[in-house]
Amino acid sequence: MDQTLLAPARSKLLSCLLLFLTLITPAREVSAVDHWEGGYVGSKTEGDATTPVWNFIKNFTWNQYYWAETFQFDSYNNERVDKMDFSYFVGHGSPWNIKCQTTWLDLRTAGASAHKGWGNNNAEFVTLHACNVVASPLEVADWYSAWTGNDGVFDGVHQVCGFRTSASMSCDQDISEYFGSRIKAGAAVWQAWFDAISLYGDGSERGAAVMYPPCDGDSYAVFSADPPEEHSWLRIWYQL
Amino acid sequence: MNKAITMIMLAGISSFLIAADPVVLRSENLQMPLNAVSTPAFSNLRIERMKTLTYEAVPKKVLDQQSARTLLSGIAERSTFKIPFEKVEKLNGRFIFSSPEDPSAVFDIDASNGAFLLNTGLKRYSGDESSRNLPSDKEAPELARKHLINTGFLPKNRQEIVLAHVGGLNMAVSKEGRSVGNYRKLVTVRFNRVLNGLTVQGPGSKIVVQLGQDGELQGMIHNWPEVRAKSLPAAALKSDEEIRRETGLRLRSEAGEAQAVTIRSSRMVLYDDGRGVIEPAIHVIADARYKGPATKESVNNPVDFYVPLLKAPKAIYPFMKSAESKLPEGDGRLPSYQPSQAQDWSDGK
Repeated sequence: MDQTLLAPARSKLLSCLLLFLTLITPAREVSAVDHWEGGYVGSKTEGDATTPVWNFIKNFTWNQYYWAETFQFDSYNNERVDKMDFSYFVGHGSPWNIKCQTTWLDLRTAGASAHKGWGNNNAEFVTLHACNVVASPLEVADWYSAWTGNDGVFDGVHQVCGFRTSASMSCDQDISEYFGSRIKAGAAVWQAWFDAISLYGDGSERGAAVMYPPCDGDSYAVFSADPPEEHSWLRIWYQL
Repeated sequence: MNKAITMIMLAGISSFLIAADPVVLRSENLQMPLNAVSTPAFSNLRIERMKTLTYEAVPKKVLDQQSARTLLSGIAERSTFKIPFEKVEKLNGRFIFSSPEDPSAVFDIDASNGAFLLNTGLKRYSGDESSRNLPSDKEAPELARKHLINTGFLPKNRQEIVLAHVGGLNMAVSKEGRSVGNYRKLVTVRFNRVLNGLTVQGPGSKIVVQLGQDGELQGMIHNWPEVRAKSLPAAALKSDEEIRRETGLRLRSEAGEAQAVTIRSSRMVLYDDGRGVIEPAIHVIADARYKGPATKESVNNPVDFYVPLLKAPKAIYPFMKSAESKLPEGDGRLPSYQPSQAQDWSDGK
């Protein structure tokens, strides 16, 4: 039979099904996906990093909310970033570097202490809302070694989201607020991050997210088993 | 000492800001002595001001769940996606339709104005392969327009919609210390709005179309309210001096600690706050250079912000939202960073 004749019938069937679902499924207030969340504000004096962090964590009954310090990400991370399920940092950045007040933290060596990197304790998702931190193949051919090297931060963490370009400061409050609301609603993590950038970004910034490939479809509501601490298998999604 | 130099430079910025070409206001070289800064010439800006308009969205009927579902069904009928979106939730005045089958799929619609984001799901794009028959960058804008026409979302006034960018979504994989693949997944077409010759920026007034395999509609962002224009009396606008002063304050707030600041661009735009108000503002982008990590002498972290042109703006600008946020705590594990009074340029927010 001619498939083109079947297409309208299928569309009508789908429409009827959707309408039926609407009638039988009442909208309910969003179900809170709430585990352990931490917010870390990278700067008091170099722009407003406070509001975008707050706009993310206010969606949850958050557990930590601090001015960012380097030890939260490296030598004491088992009590800070790696104690949380979802961490959100806002501040200045450079490839594999974030700035905690006046001190830069090199993520290529942040896993060198006894606390190791992120994920060996608890962390699943970390968002680094800062310029240029997550370099893609468009910026550098070896975009991966920095994350999974011996002293890197990928020690069981599922996904790290960020930007491969500059991040517009005039949009950051809206991006983080929307992203937080979607995460709370159980959306897939890096996909919601990119949705937020597309929806509220000014069109100049481009998101990037690195992850252990089997964790690609993770949401904050349902996520896969923790990756091994030692692995060198990585996937990056990046916007053009 | 560094601080003093920074402040002198910022003074230079603010006096140079509205100089030369007042519509595209630039500071090309802040290293020049301050006495070399030219006298402001505002004639062009005055001409722009004479035709300055503000806009209000035409109110729409608030959507209920069923009308939102009908809208989604209409898009589905004219497209190829099969996601049922069987789960519906209400959040902050939005209906969020999703599907447990693929948590990346969403239809998120604002009940008050009908602005929506549709993502038909990325699960089927997650394999280690490029999407088949993706449109080229040249083909994509026309294809995107066709999808907008088919779904009924091409704006009525075709003069307002302009192509802003053709991009996309890629994925790459590394294993055992080497790259093993780099794949093209989607092509993204972004349209901006132009009203009365001015680009509209901000959360509202944008259309984004995501194209997938075989050029299918993979996703769409549609936030394009119908608007009514209102002319503004000259007395409603800030003076050049007020704009200059406010720009200086904003620069100090956003980049007061930078080693060097260079204004990349400063131009008049329309700001759409996404809540039904579109009004003129100056959008400033500045390159702010900070002391870099050990491997770098300095890094550029650009700052950008809006200075409302109206004395009593109705739009909600990003800096206005800052007052609602809660300050974080110092981390008790170590003596926490405490900014001094002299360093605090947060402008009371």
